[in-house]
Amino acid sequence: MANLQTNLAGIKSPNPFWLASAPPTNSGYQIMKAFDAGWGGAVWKTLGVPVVNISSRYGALNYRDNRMVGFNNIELITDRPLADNLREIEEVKKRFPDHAVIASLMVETREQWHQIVKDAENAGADGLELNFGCPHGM
Amino acid sequence: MECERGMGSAVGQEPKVLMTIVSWVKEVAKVPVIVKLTPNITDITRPARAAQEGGGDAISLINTIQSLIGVDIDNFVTYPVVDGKSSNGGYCGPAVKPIAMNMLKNCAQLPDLKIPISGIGGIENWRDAVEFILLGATSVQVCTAVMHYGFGIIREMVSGLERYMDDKGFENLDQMRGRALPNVMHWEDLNLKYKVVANINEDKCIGCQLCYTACEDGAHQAISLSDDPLNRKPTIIEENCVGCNLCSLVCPVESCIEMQRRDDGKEHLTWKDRTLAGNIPVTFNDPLAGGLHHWVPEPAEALTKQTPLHYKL
Repeated sequence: MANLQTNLAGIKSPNPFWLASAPPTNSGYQIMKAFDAGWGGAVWKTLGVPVVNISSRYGALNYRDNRMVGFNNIELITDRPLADNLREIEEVKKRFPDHAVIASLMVETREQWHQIVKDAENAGADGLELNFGCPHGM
Repeated sequence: MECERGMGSAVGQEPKVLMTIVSWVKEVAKVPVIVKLTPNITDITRPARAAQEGGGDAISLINTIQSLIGVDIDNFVTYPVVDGKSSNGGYCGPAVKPIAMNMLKNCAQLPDLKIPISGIGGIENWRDAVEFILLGATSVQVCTAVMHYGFGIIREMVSGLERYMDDKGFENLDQMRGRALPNVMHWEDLNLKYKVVANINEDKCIGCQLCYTACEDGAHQAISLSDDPLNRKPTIIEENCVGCNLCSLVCPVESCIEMQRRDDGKEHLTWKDRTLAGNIPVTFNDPLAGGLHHWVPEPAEALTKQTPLHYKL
């Protein structure tokens, strides 16, 4: 059987399939469930400064009989407290040490970047992903 | 709101600022740093290079594409609706996969880009993942498919990838990564002598005539219908066929219309070869120009053409 072991710049995962930083990676609950199902890694929904999300958030492009061939969202980065996310990163890493947990980050100043990098690393993140897309989907 | 504060894609669209921020992160980071690129830029290779120059250990692409997903035509507002108003959003899902793969290829083919790439954009099954890996991705990231079908899709993705690799004799991902990259070239490097024509398998044809209409109105008038009204199966007019693929693309039956090779495979001549040899056409009387060896009907024939049988009269 083929070996699916993946190593991206030192970030190791049992297979190349990672969840992208997005609504499915909003919580430790979701990521533990995904790892249990067989996903190899997950990029946590972007951590940053406090934001407020609105309602509604998603739109879909349906084409004839097919729903959601295209998808559109105006949801921002995580609206959960940073401390909660960090605690859950730690919990997930403890339970799934061989799976890749990557923290997606988006802040503004040099000092903020330095602080959040240290926070994510202290929580046990295997890697960092810098989000240079607009928070509401650009 | 955040863009105005100097974060997000305002940063991602400006390679120098991106490079600066990556270097800030690398001043303190102990774990590998992936730089996620926005596709909302003319040339994705510029921020890709900036990510590497700033010290980034990898890049990931693509983030979502600026979009309006649709308009509520009764209430005059785009989706998704927030109290009667809306805003542009980020586009993702199966529809963006071709755009993502082109940007992945553009980065993966850069000789001076040494850092690995995590591929993102419309990946939904093992085959999509294989395509991204063959175009140079080291890992792949998935979102929309999980939002649609849940985490369970991973079982089929893993087993499908394993089976594909076993079939192809790949023992690990390193052996398959980027295998399609050398075959994606500039147009000017393609063989002008390669010649295919369409062939309709009569046993499989269901007589829908979609190919006839598509070729007649959208391509090169290279398919004819029978004079016998009971025979709905079209015929290729091979001397008119330029080998464009359109009929095979619209045909609803698997392997009914196939493109068959007609050149002998011995000649190889590219537009670049011709340019370097000073041999580009200067008149339209060139075997490879449109005016020769390519029949088109007279304009007035359009008004005498037989009406396809499925047109409503």
